[in-house]
Amino acid sequence: MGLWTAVVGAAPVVDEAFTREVVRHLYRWYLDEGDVEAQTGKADLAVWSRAVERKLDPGDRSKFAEMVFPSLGVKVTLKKTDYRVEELDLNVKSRGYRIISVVREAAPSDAAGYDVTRLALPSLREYLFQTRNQREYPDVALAERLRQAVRTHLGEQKGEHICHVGPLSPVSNELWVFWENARMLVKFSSDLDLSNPSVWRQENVTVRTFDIDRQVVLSFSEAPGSNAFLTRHQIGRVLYNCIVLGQRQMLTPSQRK
Amino acid sequence: MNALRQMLCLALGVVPCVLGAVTMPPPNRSDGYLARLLINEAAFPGERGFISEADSRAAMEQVLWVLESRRRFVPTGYRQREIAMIESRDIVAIITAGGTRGQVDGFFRDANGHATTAPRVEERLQRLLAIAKRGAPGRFARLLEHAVGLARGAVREDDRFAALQRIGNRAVTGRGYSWMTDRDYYHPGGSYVRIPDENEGSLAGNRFFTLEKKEKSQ
Repeated sequence: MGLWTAVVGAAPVVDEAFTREVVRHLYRWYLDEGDVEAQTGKADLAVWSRAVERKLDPGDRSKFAEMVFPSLGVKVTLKKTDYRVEELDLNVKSRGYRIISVVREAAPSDAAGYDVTRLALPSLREYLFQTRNQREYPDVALAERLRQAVRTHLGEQKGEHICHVGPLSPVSNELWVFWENARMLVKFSSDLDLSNPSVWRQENVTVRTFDIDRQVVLSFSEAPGSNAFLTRHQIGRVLYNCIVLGQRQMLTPSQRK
Repeated sequence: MNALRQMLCLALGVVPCVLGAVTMPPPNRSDGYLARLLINEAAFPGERGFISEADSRAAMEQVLWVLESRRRFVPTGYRQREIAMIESRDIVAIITAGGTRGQVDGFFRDANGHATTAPRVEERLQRLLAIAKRGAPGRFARLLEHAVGLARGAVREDDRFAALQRIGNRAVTGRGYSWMTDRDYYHPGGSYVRIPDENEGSLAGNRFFTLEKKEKSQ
């Protein structure tokens, strides 16, 4: 029994503007020069999308969709969250579809069951080039919640601390921070939009940390089967996004509670 | 007395935590350590990766099956050390195998050789236990109970990956031998083969992997 079931005849789940944002997210966080070069000579980038269903808990109205990029061999799974957590007296709802998974996977042999969109590559390339340094940062309120979360998570530390907060994505509920003094990457993620104050009030945010000296390998083959590492390539990408595109922030002792 | 017991539980981890309907064995017992791992690896409501209670329960079951498979079901052509980084039948040894190159993020042996966890593991557990005791037992309580039941051997579920024979054009051993959390895009290395969505390879924010089939020892 497959858990994912295609919804036949459903209306298109994503529009061109959203698709461009997803491509920009992939461009920033996943794709390499090889992926871009592989599109050379092509007129457009095909994007297949469809709604999919999951068996959910009673009362859960969340929606799911997937986008397939056949020429990249990438599948993106999306979720539009809409459910209630009684124990927290909280409605968990995102404003739109958010990426929950990106997989390198060969596309199905044909597009049957998918809506097919074709993005003209010249204008897409221009869009990605023009927006490659575009940054959306946490607003003041979110930045303060982040600071509190970093302080809480990392405990009592002496002296001033420098953090580099990566840019936000409009299509993903995750955020990376590089804590320079500790040489640590901190990843915040949630099923709610990170801009939603409830995420932080209820601590519905998942925090994972990676020591960039200790938890790094060149290839996962060095520690096969382990889930404790990032590759140097992954770390490099996160550092680029946090340091080059991110916001540098100081956590001073007086700010700590 | 209850307050003292809870304080000891939180501070020392030497007595079972009883919070609401959930009794959490202490982390210095193998069932307590295993339960913490199962809880740590499954998304709860509100967390990224959460799909449904059934999905999170399935994730816990399959993480346990990965450990069991590394412990007891070494496939033909592989040595246990290749897939578990240790030769042992002890479940805690399987979890903490690998020393500094540990197999499970946040679960390792301290300088004295005691199985321990990163502080965030226990912090999240205490938060989940606190949520679970609010009002009538709901999804949080049931998920925590399921983890404890699995860790104690009181709950037995089939390995949904046991019968896998082919993935794409590759022959595979069946059973899950690795999982990675929230990093679907990447591959765990070695002879691991990603179990796709149509085989339920993605559960509660985790991607599971089986092994490429080998005919004989190499």
